[in-house]
Amino acid sequence: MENNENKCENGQKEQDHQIDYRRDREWLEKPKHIFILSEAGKPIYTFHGSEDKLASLFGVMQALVSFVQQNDDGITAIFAEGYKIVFLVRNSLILVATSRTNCSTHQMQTQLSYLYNQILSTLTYSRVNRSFEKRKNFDLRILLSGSERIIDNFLVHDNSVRKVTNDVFSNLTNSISIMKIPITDRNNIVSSIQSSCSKIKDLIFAILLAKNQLISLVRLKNQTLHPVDLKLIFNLIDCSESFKSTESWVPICLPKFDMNGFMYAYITYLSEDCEACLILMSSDCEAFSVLKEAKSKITDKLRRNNCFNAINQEIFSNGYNLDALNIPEMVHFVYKPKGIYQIICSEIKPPYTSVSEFKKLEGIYFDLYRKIHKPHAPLKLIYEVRESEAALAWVTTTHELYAVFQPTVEKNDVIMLVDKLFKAIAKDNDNLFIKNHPYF
Amino acid sequence: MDSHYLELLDDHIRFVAVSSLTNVFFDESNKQIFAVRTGGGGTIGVNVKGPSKDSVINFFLDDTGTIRSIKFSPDNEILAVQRHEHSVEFILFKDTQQTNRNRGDIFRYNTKSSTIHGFVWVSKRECAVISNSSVELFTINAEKKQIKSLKSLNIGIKWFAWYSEGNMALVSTTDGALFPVLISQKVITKLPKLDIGSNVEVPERDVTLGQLYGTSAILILQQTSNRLVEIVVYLLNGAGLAPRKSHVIRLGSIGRFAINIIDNLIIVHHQTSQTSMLFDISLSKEVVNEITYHNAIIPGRSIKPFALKLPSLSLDEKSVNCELYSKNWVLFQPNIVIDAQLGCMWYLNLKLDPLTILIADKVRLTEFLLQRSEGKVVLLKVLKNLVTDPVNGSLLTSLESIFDRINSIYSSWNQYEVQSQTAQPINLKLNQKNILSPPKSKVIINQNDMCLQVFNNLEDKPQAEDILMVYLQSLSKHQISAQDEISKMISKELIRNENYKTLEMLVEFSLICETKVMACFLLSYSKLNPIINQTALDMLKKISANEIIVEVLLEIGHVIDALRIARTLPNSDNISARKYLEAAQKNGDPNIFHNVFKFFQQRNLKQRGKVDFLKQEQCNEFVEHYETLFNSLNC
Repeated sequence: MENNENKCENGQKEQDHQIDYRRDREWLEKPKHIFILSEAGKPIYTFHGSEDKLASLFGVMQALVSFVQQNDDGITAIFAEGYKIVFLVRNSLILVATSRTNCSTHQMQTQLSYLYNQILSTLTYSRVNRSFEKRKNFDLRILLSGSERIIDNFLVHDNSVRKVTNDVFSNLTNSISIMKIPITDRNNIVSSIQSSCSKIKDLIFAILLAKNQLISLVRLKNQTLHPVDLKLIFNLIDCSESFKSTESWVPICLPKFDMNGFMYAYITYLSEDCEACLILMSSDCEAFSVLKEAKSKITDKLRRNNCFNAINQEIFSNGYNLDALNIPEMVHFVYKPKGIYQIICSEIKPPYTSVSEFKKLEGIYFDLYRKIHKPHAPLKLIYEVRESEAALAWVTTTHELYAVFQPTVEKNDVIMLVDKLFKAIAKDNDNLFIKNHPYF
Repeated sequence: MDSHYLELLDDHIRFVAVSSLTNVFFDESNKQIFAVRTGGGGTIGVNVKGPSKDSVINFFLDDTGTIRSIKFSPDNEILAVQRHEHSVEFILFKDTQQTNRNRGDIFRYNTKSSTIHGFVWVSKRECAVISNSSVELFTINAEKKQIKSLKSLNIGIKWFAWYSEGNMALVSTTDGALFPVLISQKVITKLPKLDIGSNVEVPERDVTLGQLYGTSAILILQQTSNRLVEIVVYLLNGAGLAPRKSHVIRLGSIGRFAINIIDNLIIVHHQTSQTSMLFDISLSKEVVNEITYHNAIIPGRSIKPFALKLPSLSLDEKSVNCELYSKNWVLFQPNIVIDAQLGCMWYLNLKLDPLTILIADKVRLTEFLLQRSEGKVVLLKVLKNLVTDPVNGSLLTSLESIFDRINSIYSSWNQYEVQSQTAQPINLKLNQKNILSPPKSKVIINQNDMCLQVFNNLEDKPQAEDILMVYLQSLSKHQISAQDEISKMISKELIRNENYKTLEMLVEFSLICETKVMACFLLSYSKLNPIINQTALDMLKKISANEIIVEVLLEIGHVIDALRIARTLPNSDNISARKYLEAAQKNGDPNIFHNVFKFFQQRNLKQRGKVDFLKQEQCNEFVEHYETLFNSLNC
């Protein structure tokens, strides 16, 4: 980074006063930076600090990209001692990530493309295009103002800076978490939604989620909701406390569904005594009152069918309990069946309950994931005995498992314990995962 | 320092000098000097001295003719005297204090016609008589006063020489050929003749018999075509002990020479120049047609002047310098110098100390000293001076060669010892070639000698590490495993120079000794650098000292690693929870404490069905510590 900055000092007159990030140790030593700029080099977003004060740095990034483009080529990444710079160029936007962690280039690119989708979800593809067509050095921040918060939230989750939560692992594995609900209860929930919504015109998706975990998704016949889009919705819900107090009517673009058009989402929490969030998505911008009506019907039916209890029970539980399964030597795991973008994680228990220890756990999983999914040399099984834990990554034709064990565990026991876990998951499979999202 | 490397020992023997009345005989076998005085009254007074100053025998014999040769049996009980060409008398001498002999104690051996050249004692009761026609071996029965012929060898003999230690005679036949003849108890063996090459007859005085490095040797002085004198050395090591022309010693000058053999060194005295030269057939030299050609190790030097104290009544003793290399000198093997005119017999002594300076090439000096019977002390001193001298530029390369010489002998000794201590199956067909003989070298310098007497002052000197490493390398080159002492020395130096990487390598390749003691020694330095600690652990692992490893790991706070190893040990069910929990608490990492705590909880569960600790395990404080660490966080 420093080299680049030297260049800009030579090239451009320094932009006067206040904090100079290029000399700010704290800013420089952040493990991760994200920058978004226009093709013209206009700053749009930075994760740390204020983009206005980094104009010269943005200029360098733009220069790097356009220099490589001149040769009909594209820049992907720059590797330097101890850190990595990854580029993603999409639709007049340049997204840049730098990392001092051991994230792979692929992981960082995935992350950048999520951010790109995040921008599209507020503006749509065509609107971004139109803006830049009109004026090359258009300041996209004018249109984006207010939605930086959503981007921030995504990044915070993506790399748990403050929180001890399993959400980070769903980002890692490009999946969503499913709330564990007994299949009969889930069927009841689905049928409650189906019966309340089947007659509503233009209703495309009905989503029920809690604690960043999916409870159910009901869809219009032949329409699918891409996990990327679903994740954008999850992120939107997660970062907005205001949804809890009022019902909202939000236009949203789901880039994988239709990158040029808006959908309208009716977002509301079910009730005071059940903090699950219901999202009803319609292509009709006038459907608010219809959907509001449907929501109260759903709430009634759920309450009547005792579904609130089933949901609450899971909201207040800490997650999949390994001690209850009599697998105490396993400290944590992430399990992902092949073919569906869904995972379950076990409860986070000591010693990983503190932020610093949890970061270590996260580091282990990032490391394992990177190693086992190496693009040119994927592995099937990794077993590592580390200083204070044993770690396992195992990819088979039917599932992926990432697990951490107590350091004193023996290899033979690990096989036995994993076997035990697989049996338990197989037994519980219907409650843990959703095989098919039903239609209205 | 005194640069004379040869001296006449003070411990000399005086005897009555040769005169018109006195004849002196020397018996090489017993190293006795016989001073025979023809007195009046038909008796002969005999005064016998030697081999040491104090052994003196005096007696009288009847004067029945001039004595030609006189020798005691090895036990001094029978005296053999030759006075005539055809007979030898034997006189019983049971009591040496008895001065007069009875006629009855005398019996004789007579030949019919042949002329007796001389006789030799082969053992206490066996005597061989060499005449101009035969070698005859007799046994003598003292009680019955009988002489019985055991063996005889018919051969025309002009002269003979005898070497008693080797039981070997060299006889010159009437046609000038030289034959070694072995005469031992009851057996006479004639060996193949010497290949002299020229037709020149060898006179008796040019022949020296002796032993070099355990092999009987015949040394013959010869003049080369350019009149320079050389010594041809025949060793009896050919097939069937056949003499083999093995070495030629180039003296490089003319004149008269005499030879002594001391400590397997051939010492050649040159009368003209009054110097003595030193030759060692074991030192490597140029070899032509399997014959090794030697030059003097160092230029000739004279024997140290010797002052003979004259008997005097006054207190201030007068002394007179003896003439060295005198014409009156007669030399006998191995190291005897007799001046018959002066009446004095000396033992010649080789001093090694001056040689350490005279032989400048230290590698050659080492080779030389390794072969000397008294070489060890001297060599150790030389080495010590060498390693403590900081300004020697070519030090390491020559040290490497020196260490290699020393260790090659050390290693062959080791192998010999191992073999001699290894039990062999009785029915094993012994392959002669596989049986090692003990190394011939006189000096064995092992690691302990080096550590205690050579490297002991080396500590903290800048060259110490290099020298010790060269020594270690030489040890390993010769398949000798380093022992405690040297290993410690090297480790100390490496640690002092902070050369931890090398230390690590030494342990990795097992070049220093691997014992618990050694590992603990390393551990005592572990505060200096973690690598030392790891190195010690590596060593402990190699010798499977797992209990110690556990303690070490606990000490440095690697509680999990300690626990992992402890689990593999026998009796792992009973490891003390308190010990590990205490170490984990001290470590401060909550993750580690958690894991250790959980481990013991699960152990409790397996053993007793409950996670709780027993009262006697005294783990309450750790349970509380766990609660404060984790359960409060959970709330």
